[in-house]
Amino acid sequence: MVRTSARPTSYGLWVLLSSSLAGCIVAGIATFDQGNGIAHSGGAYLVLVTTLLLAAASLFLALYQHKRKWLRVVLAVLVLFDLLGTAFAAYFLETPILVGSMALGLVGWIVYILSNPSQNNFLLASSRSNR
Amino acid sequence: MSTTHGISFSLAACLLLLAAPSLAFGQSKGPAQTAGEPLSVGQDGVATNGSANRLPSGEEGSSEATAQVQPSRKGPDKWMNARNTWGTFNGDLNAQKFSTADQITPENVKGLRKAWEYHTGDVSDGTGEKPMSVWSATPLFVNKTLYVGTPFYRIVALDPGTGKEKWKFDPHAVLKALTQPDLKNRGVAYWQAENVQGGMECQKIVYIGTMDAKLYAVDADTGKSCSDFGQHGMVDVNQWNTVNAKWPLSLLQPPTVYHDTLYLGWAGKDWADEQAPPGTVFALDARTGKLKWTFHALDPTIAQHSGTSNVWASISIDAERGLLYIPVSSPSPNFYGGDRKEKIPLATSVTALDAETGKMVWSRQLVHHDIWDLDTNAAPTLVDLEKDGKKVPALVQTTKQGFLFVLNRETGEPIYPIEERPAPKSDVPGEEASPTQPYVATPAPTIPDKWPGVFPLADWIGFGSCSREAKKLRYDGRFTPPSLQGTITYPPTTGGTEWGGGAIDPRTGVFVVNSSSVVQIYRLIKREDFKQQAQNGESSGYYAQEGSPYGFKLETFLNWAGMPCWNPPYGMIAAYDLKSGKRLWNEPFGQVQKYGFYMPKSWGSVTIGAPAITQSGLIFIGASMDSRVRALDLKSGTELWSNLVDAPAVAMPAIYNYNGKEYVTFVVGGNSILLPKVSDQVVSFALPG
Repeated sequence: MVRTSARPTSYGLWVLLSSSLAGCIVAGIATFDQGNGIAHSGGAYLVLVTTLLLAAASLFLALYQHKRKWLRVVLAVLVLFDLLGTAFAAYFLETPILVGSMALGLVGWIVYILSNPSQNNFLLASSRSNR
Repeated sequence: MSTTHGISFSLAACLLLLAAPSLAFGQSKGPAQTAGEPLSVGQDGVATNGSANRLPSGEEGSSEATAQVQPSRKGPDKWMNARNTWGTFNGDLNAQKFSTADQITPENVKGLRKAWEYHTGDVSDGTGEKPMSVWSATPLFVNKTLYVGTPFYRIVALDPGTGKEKWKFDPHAVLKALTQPDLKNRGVAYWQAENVQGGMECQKIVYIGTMDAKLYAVDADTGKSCSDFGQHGMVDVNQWNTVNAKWPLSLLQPPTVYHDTLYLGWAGKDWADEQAPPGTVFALDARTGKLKWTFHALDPTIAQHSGTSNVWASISIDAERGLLYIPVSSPSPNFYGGDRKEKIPLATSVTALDAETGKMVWSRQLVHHDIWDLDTNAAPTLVDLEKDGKKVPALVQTTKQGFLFVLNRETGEPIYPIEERPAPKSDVPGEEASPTQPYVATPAPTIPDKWPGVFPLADWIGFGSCSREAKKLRYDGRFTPPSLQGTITYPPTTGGTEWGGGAIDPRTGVFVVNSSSVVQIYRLIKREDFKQQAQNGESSGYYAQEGSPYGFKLETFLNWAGMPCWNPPYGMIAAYDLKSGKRLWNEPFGQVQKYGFYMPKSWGSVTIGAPAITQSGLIFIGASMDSRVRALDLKSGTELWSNLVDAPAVAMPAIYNYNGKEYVTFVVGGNSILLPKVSDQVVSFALPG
């Protein structure tokens, strides 16, 4: 069993993970549910892939909060791009639930970053070191 | 992958991710078209067939009677004149697409729900042995039944209130792309005897045509073949295809029925040959299929080195005056006229014929020396307009050019002025473009006069390819002729208003029409270069125009990502007050959909299909790329309701009352010009309860 802390960092990560899993399910339904206007389209498959990647990255961040700092920083940046990109694509796919999921994920990501800048936010960390 | 399996797959993938850490991380591993000048042409472009201009049989603008012509019987058929029918491709013979139904109103349309759905099973995405299906059939509501023709040329009779199948007729038609690239059908036609004899078969008949030129007649109540019609219920129209018969006369548009006569045009194989079957309209006896008369849009001497100028779109009829209005297409070859420099006054025209005899009453050419394939492509809408205190019998002809020609339908004279404006010269050796072309300023054209210019976003995404390409091409405004260097053509053959035409509220004279803003590049290629390219295996977008000195390349002006290189909007819908000629409103319509992504509403969508208007002040229309059907407010064009369907609904809806309830029924078939997305859905909407 992997042990996790109950600090705001964790809350942020679990919100991110929950929203990414919800996004993953929504994207799956959008991709395969015939008659929704976007089923089996390139755009639907795209958001299915990006939400799966998002879920995987969120899970990694949630479960391994104290290991491989460089990887977590890289993943945190990629997760941000994934959240924004998926939300952008979902907006043009007219899938508001997926946009909402990504918005919630973004809240989680922000909580995660702001709650533990020394470990996770290379931007904040570097700006502080330059003071 | 099925829906259920797909969803299960994605759910499983998500759950797998939850379980993944102990497995993976535990080990520390991290994408035709179809193809028609008068006898004596006045300076104003209208031709009449007065006694001084009568021609011997067989010449252009002439007709041949092959059976005894019945004495003139004017006025609409009783069944057609019934208040609550949608008995023709255009709703009625006037092509008004107007319904007196008023249960669904602008106030309650938001509550419109799917009442029933039916799938014909006749659909092909083109990946198998069958070509792709393109289905634009208007359902007919008549004889307390809904009749639908399919792209596999079958007829289905449905209960109008439940969608339950009553009967199905299968002619076992050849499902091959003999002329058009896709299996196409625009529906069926209905006829009923003036005095129906009880207990006798085929007093009411439904007709369907096929791509190989066969016309079938079946009993409207039972779906059984009418043995008195032709040979065992079938007439082979191709028996009259005797000149340049390179391909069959495809019967994709249902016949127009008036009294006891069927009026037939046909579709062909465009852009392939210089010599093609010449445009002929056939009038057949509705009971027996016997030929009554034929009308020739081309003179036989011209037909020797040209062809088409056919009528492939629907036809409207003034039942009171006994006049038939035919939209005549351009002659072949479509993009080079150097070998057909004679005046061909019926080509690309709207022409009025005497419905009983087929004799031409008047004709007006809408494009001179057409070298853009700007076929007159829709039945003109007939309406009486109050103008200067007088009732004027008018017709409105929509066009690919985006012009609305409003004419006196008795004489062909313009109600709003038609100017002859100078047009650019051709720089292609052998070609002589017409020095002037007809121009209509009022009502305002449905599309702008100038091409919309390069779209900065598409240019940026295309790394500047759009602007670089545009600089290389020739463009001198409307009617810039095709060139060897390539011409920006606006509007091109797929632009302006397509075969659906417009709809009108006859009480107010408000006319509604959708239009597409499309830019295409027209490039003529010298025959020897064309042959070389063919040998190199290049085929997409190339058309032979075999027999002429030039082949042709047609391409829509897109960047590498398939994005239009020209500025939006790509599609609009507009309302006009035909009493004053003023445009009341003009709004972007529909949404472009690409790879599933919906583009901004302000961009609009290219449309195929047409609107229908109800007495309560609603417009119902599918037509757009985004597979939605919509209801708009007739007063403002505001969208009041929309519903997602299985594919672009490129057919006109049928609107009718049945058992006290108003139904709006769409055929949802798709069209490869819009998207490679097809369906076999028939879907009906009504208010709950």
